[in-house]
Amino acid sequence: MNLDFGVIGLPLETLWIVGGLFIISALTPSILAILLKHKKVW
Amino acid sequence: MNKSIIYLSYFTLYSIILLFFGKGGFKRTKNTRDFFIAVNSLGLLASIFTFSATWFSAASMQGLSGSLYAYGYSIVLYAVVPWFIGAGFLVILATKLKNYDIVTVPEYFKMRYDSRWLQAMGGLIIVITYILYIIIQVRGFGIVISEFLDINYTFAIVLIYLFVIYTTFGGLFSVAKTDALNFILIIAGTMLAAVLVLRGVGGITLMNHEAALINTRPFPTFPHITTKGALVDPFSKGVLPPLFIFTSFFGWGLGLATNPQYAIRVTSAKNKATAIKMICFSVMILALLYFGLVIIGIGGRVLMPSIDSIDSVDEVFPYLINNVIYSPFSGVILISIMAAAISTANSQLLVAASGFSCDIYKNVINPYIDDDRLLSMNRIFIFFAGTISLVMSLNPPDSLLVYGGYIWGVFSVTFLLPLYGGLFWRRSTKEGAISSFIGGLAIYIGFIVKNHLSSINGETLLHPALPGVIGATAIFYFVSRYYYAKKK
Repeated sequence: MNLDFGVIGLPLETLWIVGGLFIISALTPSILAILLKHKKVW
Repeated sequence: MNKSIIYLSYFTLYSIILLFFGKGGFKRTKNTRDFFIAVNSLGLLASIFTFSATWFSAASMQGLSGSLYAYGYSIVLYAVVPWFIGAGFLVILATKLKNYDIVTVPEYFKMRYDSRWLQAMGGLIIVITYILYIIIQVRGFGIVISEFLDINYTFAIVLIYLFVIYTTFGGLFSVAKTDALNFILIIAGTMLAAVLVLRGVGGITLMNHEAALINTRPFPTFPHITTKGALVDPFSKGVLPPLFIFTSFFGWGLGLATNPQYAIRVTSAKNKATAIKMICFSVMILALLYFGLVIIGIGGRVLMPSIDSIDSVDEVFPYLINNVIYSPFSGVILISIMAAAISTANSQLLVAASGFSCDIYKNVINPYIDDDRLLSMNRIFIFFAGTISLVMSLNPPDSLLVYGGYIWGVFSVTFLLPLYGGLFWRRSTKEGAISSFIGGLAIYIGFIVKNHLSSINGETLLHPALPGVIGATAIFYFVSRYYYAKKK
């Protein structure tokens, strides 16, 4: 079996899909809040 | 010293502190507004504590860590990512909902659509859904206490019943104060467990390398043997297919986005800026905690690839603490799991009580009831609802995480359109809201039954919230457009 391990011992595919979505989703509320603040919604 | 005695000491100390923290709310609660939303007075720190502690339940602590143990990293996509995206929706919600002076979310339905029946339907959904969801907390607590204190499960769940009833009786002031204590314990316990696991596996890189080689059945009753590489695969090598994982967003993500237990935290914050900051900061803190749970789940599997003495994913974390990473500080981790269950259950019981007393009783049965009587009725209801959950917990569901996703889906298909549609689409009408509420629920139940009849090993390809939300959206749009044009 060929597992293409990247950073921290995870396959690159997992790192991008799981790690990437985890970080983006965790920042989603803050990014939205900043955008809405910029548009003077709050 | 005997393990049980150490755990009992931690448990007793926690009980005393919890009783002390909880009693403050009794004095401050004068009326139903105090009781349910603490007169919109919660500052940023108190709001973060109560929002995060309510969020981080037994479904997170035990359900998520155990599911990570069994399935691997795919569980992050199944549950955590949808939760965080749902929190993004809450930010958008907060910008508008905070303009309304409401005690419950269905009260907004009455204001927006001028329909007391829609409010009552919302109240009924809240009562039923939360009674079912509290079972998760009761079961989580029961597993932990029976494992650690070596007592019978039935006796263990009576203990959480007493804790939850006590903290809920004092209303949101009590809940917010005990939530602060509970959330600090949750952070301490999760981080401590993560450090102990990490020390055992020799670091994250080594942990992932070892996890990729595991090919065992996690516990005897689990339906799949883990194939090599499945734990570090985004879709567990096909065990959790992409379609199922991504459609879970419609249950977990949109369920969180419309869930009254979070929406009401927006209302109880002292202003709009506090409500929005509360959501953003809480999600960042929760992200750190979930990272800790990932280490506990995956690292736990590396330390113990198979556990013969358990029957469900929810028992994994307590087992690991007591047998694999035991230390004199394991008692802190024990009470952190209890804290996760209690802090969520008391908030949910409070929302369920508001659904009954404000949305059903005062709205439909007795609009002229005075505040003192309503407050007494709340407490009677809390006792009643807590007792039903306790009795139902004697025969609990197999997996807290999967069960929770189905329960949250009810809010996606019923509350999403009337709530967000009403706030952001001026053409939404009462008829559209009521028909999407009923239609979405009917489609959802239909797909749950269909999945149940056609699934293998209880597993399905499509989360039923997807067709439910699509159906509810179509109904809401077309019915609202029709009646809006007709009224004009």
